[in-house]
Amino acid sequence: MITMTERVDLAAVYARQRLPMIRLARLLVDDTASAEDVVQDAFLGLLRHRQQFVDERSATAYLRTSVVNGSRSALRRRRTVREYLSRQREPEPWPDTSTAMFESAGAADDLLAHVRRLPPRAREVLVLRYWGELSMREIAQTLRISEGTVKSTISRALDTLETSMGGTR
Amino acid sequence: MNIDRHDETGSGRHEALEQQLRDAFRTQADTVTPETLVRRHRDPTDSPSGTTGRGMPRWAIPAAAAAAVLIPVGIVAAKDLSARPNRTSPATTQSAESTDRTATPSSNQPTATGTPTGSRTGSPTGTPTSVSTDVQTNVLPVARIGTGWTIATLGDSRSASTPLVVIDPSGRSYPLGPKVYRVYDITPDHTQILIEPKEPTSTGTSLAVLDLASAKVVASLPIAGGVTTAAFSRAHPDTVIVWRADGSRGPEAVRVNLSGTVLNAFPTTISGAPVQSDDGRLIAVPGPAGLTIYDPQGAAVRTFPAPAGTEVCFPRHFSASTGQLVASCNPLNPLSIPSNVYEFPVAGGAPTQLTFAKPGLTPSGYDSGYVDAWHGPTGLLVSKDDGAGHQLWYQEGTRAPARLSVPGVPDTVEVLLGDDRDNIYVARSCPLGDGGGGCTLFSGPLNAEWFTLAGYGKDKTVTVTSAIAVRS
Repeated sequence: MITMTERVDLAAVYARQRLPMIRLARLLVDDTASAEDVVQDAFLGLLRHRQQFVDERSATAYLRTSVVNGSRSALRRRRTVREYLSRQREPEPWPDTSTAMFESAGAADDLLAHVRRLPPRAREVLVLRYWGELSMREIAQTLRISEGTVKSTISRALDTLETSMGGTR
Repeated sequence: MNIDRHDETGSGRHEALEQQLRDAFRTQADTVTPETLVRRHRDPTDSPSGTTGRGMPRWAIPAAAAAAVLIPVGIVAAKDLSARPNRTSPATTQSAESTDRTATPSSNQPTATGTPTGSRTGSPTGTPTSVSTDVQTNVLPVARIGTGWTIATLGDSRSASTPLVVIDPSGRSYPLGPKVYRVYDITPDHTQILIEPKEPTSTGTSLAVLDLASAKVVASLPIAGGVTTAAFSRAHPDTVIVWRADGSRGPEAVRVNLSGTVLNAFPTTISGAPVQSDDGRLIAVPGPAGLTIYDPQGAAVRTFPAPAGTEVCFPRHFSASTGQLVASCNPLNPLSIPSNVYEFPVAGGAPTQLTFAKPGLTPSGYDSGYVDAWHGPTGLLVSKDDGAGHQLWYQEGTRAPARLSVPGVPDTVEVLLGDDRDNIYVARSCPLGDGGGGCTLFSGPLNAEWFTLAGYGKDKTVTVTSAIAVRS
């Protein structure tokens, strides 16, 4: 006999995860339009490989990894464009400068501006840890790195932030 | 999620900074709201980066409306279908046999209306004929249940619980007890079925064993977490293999007795439903870097590393014709290299690659590769998942696969159920409001007869929400 395997309800995953994923991407790429593009691609990837997901948890983990990877790629493309433009003409201000990036003012702006200057992986682990509230293991699985690397990255990032924030105070 | 904020990163040395980060991230993330997203799409210029922000995914609507419907498909290439001779279907027999359960219609029987014609189209290219799911005074011939029969939950897929019916090879359906949430399996002797009576709650669910002759529940199995799929153990039919998702521990495959007590687990670190061999002696699950085959007691029998160039494998089925384990394998990032199907010898040894999808873009986008394959009379039936459903292809020898067309069915079909040596069983999405018949087809590859098992009639909204295909 043959049994039909129950599958992930992608529509439900989309309904529940789209906004959180856009927010995650927004924290990583700094503007909402790019974030939506990243999340769109992540959902398309999920759809292409939906046979591999047997529950919403695994689908969400895939989405999270895709969004982080997609955000990193988006930043890389943006940097490439920026470098190209800088050779052509005086670069225009990129929308993800601190003024455009952060709508709210004050200490939070300042802190986030420093976060933006961290290496991409450090920024990713901080976002996943302190916004996503993921465990070390979940972050490790999302970024495909070891838990030890996650811990050391967070620790170094926090040290760096405290040092740089202290310098601006 | 509750996490120890002082763990692992400095014992609270940065506690104030950590809290500031939480607040800052939350403030920043909360600037994205459903309202701002809607506003942005109404005004495309509201895009600080000038990128498009494509918004609603193209797949969202069909996926939302999808409801699985059963379609067995013959292993014949599209070019061969029209050449197949017609075959007259056997007459439908309604007489009850000595062991038959006498069933009289009641208020809890399917509500769909129609004439139980049990018609079958002889022409493989003919339009599939809609068959009624209404039963007046049908008597379930329990002793005759076997290959070609189907047990399904029918109804509006928006309803949590739907009528449970048994459908014979001619399309005649027999109601079976109250509405249930899902049907998962039937015992090898075809006397009992495994169902999930009600939609799972946040705390868990329960499975039940329903006796077909009496239409009574004979065992109830409480299950922690949600059930993704479940099946009677073929080796120990008084136990059930459950792929469950327990929120506290993540998905896991376990074997439970008919009281729901966990007897053993089939450990894996990667999500993926287990598959068992016909005799139940082998249970395959994804391993950390390939595949692991267990015996029914949970002892690892064999592990297979992922083939070169791939990192994870997902068991699909044990081939009915070769007895080998068929699985698809791909890198962790499946976008980099498409998945391909491999056949792993259960006795050990190197896998045989069955499909050869190559990385890169195709005219229709990324080629995500092949996800399953079945041996046919003259070649290999393979399936792709193109994002909108499965595409079926037929691969003969070293020739490039040819697309398989199923008469009366759109380009893609949905869930592939498996094979039984003679038939490939697939299901397709049948969105509510689709209109017309042909949501469900039924056929054997050797006679190429196409048959609507259930579908939309003029004023019906009948679809299949779960199904099992019986084979001997």
